[in-house]
Amino acid sequence: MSELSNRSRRVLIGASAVAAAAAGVLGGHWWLTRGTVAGDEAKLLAASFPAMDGGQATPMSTWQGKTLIINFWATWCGPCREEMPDFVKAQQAFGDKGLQFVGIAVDRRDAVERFAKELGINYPILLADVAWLNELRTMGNPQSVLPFTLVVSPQGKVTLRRVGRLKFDEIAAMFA
Amino acid sequence: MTATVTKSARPGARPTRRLVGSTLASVLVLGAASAALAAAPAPPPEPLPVDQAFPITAAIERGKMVLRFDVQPGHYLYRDRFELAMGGHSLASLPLPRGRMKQDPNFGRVEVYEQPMQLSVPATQGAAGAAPEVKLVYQGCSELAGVCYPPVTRTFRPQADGKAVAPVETGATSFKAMFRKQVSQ
Repeated sequence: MSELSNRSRRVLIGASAVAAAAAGVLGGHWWLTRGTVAGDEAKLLAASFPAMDGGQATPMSTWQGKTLIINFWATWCGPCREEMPDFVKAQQAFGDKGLQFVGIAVDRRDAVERFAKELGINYPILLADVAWLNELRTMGNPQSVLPFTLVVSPQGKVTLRRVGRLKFDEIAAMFA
Repeated sequence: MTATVTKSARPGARPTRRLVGSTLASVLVLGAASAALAAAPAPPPEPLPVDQAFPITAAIERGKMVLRFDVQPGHYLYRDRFELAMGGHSLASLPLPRGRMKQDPNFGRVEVYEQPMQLSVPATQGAAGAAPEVKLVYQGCSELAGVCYPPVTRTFRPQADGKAVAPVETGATSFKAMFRKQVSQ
């Protein structure tokens, strides 16, 4: 009876440990991926967008092999403008560690040009037609709101989808 | 009898202590993790669909087209980003009510509507005396979610019976035609 009881206790201890570990793993996963949802970005990564100079469309594959942060934004979007100085800072700090920002503006060229110059944006800015806002729905942004940011690993896997602001500290943590 | 009980109780005493100890440790670890998560800032809420953030109805009341904007808490509409066309004719100036002046870190002082509001314009008659079609463009943001909605176009066809109607058509707005005068840099 006592032996059986000891075995039961051992099983109970083991189960508690497994439950605690599982809770930790699940909690950690939730915390790291909070605010993100699954989506389909294949179309985006295979697309080309007009550049600011009005020349040939730039394919997104240009930056394959980098840690790519794709930020959809617009000059008429206050929160977009608010987070962009962080992106300029991050590009400067982590560019030599393989970070590449690409801004995709869903906006008019003249307004984008003016703002990019004013802020001193140090990464490529491309222009997207308003129809791209609908495409964002399947990438983890069901309401097609801005800002919207995707982080793509050098292996081409989306590691973060962010509806709303992405902060410098979060970007820095990716390169810690 | 007492000695027998003491003897049989001893071997089980250590595992029991271990069980209590490990359970306590698990509780403490989980408690600490929960406390750490609770102390961290909560992620912003998911943005509402635009028609839930800004439910709009149109009605013809005493010869006027009345548009009601039920701006939800934590959301706002920009006063200078409204456009209205009635019966295919764009209205040059809209009698919009005064909003609240907001100090925006990006746009400076802007006038916004953070509360329900309404817009009334004389209702011009359409072909054969029919009620005119109203095409409305507007743009707003969610302070709660920290995002902005793109400019949207909604079409209304209210009847002369005074009943409030929801939009009959929805669509995205071309940026080429929009914001010519605003978004001061």
